Amino acid sequence: MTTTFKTLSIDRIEGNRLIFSGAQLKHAVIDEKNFPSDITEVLLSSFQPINLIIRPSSFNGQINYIIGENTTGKIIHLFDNDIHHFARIYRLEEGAQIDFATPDFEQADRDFNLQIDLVGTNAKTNWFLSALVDKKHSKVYDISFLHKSGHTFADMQNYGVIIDDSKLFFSGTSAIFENMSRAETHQTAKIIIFDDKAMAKADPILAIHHNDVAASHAATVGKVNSDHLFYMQSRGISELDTKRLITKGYLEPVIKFIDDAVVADQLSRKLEEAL
Amino acid sequence: MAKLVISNLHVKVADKIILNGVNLTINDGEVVALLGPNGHGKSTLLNAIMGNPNYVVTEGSIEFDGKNVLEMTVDQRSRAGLFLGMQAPSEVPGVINADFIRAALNARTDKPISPIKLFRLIEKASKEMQMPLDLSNRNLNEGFSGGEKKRNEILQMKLLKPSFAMLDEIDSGLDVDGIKIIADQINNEKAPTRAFLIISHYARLYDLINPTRAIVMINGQVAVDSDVSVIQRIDTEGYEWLAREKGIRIEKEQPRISTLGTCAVKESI
Repeated sequence: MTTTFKTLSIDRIEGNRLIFSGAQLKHAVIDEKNFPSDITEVLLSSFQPINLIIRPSSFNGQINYIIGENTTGKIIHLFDNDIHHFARIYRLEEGAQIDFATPDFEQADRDFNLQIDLVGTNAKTNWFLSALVDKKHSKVYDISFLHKSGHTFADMQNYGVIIDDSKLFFSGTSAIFENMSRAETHQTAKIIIFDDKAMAKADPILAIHHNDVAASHAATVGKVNSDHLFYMQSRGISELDTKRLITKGYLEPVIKFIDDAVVADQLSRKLEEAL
Repeated sequence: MAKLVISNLHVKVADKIILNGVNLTINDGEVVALLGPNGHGKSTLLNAIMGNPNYVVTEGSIEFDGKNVLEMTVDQRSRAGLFLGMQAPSEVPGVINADFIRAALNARTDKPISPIKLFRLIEKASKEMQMPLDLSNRNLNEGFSGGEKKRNEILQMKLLKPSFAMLDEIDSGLDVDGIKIIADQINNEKAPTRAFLIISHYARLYDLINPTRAIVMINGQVAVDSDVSVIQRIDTEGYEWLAREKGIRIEKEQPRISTLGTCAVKESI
């Protein structure tokens, strides 16, 4: 079986801006390692739904992605082990509707900073992150939504599992500015802790400057439910395998965003190996 | 073999003593009805046997086929042949029912079960339990009706084939047809080398499965250990006659402390 995703080649550059458009974004991989070093902006635009994998580079500067008007679809971030710092801004223009999925099961340190600006009316985004942290690693995810237009929607769901003497932080701000009527923003953060030595924090912040909006935030950090552990172990499953099953069940839903069997299978195996 | 020997068992839950010296032996081939008023230790006994960490054994012993159960972890007890069909089975988000069953079956064998064999086993058991096959592809007990959860417990019992099965109010939440299905499956699973310990508040289930013996737990002890005639009498008269005729004082269940509400809760995921 082969993957339906093809790596995009760069064929249009205007100054510091890369432009990808049209049907080539249907099942495509954008590998930032192939970018010229002076690129600061990437425009993605298509009338057909896009389905992109973005492979971030270790480039330390800021790259802004602009999602063109009425461009819809999904973007999946896939990290390599050597990507420790990641800072990107996505700007969603009018009518742009993008689902983001970020499975991060690598044994690595990560300092992840991402901002999604909803600048056009009817811009909409759903964000889903699943992170596994173990073996003394530290992963920090700072993800923010800025509603810079009315009639925008954003929903963030961050899920994490932390094992061993490791650290995991979820933070970020969902901001709705003045006069941004009918904007709607939600944040959910959940972290399961398996070890007493592990350190986890979930800190979702809402900054709301207008009345005619909908907003919510929720954060849960805790150990695995002991009733679940007992129930599963009472069927003969060892404590270790029980925790594996629960962790897999907790983190795996992000893989359902990926409609390519090969990529989904690779991620499932990566998660299995990590566990 | 399925011989369970419990001697002078004392168990506490959250610092409250619930079992006060239980003595009980159950042999191969027995189907034992376990009755008693609410809050007198029936479920505590079953949970203590299975090793629920919330139920702390402070004194006494439990032996299963000559082995010290109290030295075993929960999963070891299961693999040794003990099974607890729970009163309120946990809903475990994200864990697919079929994956859970596969892990439980694989825990009992050196060679992992093949996907096709697993499918056939679940398909056959689901048909016998009159459960939709798609329940096996849903999250474990999540969104299941009360009856589906109970049937799922019996389905697991059928697949894991324990030598000593404990069923805690497995008939609650079931309609008449559901009770009949569960009773039929319990009857199918009976064998000279297996034993059952079954809690129910209703004679209907016991009428269908024909226990060989009845035990009544009162005040955290086995107060009555007799033939099954006691079941019918309890069903029609309740437990007060035990106080009158046998001089057993029945302590009232302690009321549970209720709270009006809190602004925050510490939560497990």
